[in-house]
Amino acid sequence: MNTIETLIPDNKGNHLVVVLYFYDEIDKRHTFQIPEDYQNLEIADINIRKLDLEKPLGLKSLFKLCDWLIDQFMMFPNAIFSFICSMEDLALRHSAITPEEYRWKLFEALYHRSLKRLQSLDINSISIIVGPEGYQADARIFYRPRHSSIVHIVESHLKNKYR
Amino acid sequence: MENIDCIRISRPSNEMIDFLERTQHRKKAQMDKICEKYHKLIKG
Repeated sequence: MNTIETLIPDNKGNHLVVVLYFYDEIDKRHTFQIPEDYQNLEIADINIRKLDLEKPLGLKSLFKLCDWLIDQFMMFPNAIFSFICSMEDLALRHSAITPEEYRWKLFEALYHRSLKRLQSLDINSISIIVGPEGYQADARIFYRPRHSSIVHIVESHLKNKYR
Repeated sequence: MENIDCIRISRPSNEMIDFLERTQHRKKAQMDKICEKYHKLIKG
């Protein structure tokens, strides 16, 4: 397992922990059915957590998070990044919505805030919604235009195999 | 090539749900371990 991690201070006493988890060859070949032509492709899953779960988090750390993720993406020219929304409970509850809805809305707000920069860097994105009502998982994929064919292959595989 | 911005898989198989659940467990275990390391580093 290969990971890259960073700790981002919010300058108010809390931190964000961010980890990129690179899927291994078995996952790439068997789970995602990546063809052999794309053996050098890397797929990294984004993991984000507040270090002190009981304390609020300063907004600036979220903006720094976006900068760090974009920098990492640019450092890996042959990578696709995914964000699979965690379903873990939240220490500070937002009772009107579920924890995963809260996380997803926050991530999407950051995504839309970064959209112009992503577009200027030619970084594409799609969201994936899995499941009927009662079981729903949300994810977002970031990729370069030259990898769009592989995203379509995986999309087709997911739709056909996992129907 | 068709431009897509959302893939919807409304009827996931058990295999896919298994994958997502494994991923959720992996993410939790991994983040628990890494956060514990940073807690120790910061608090001493």
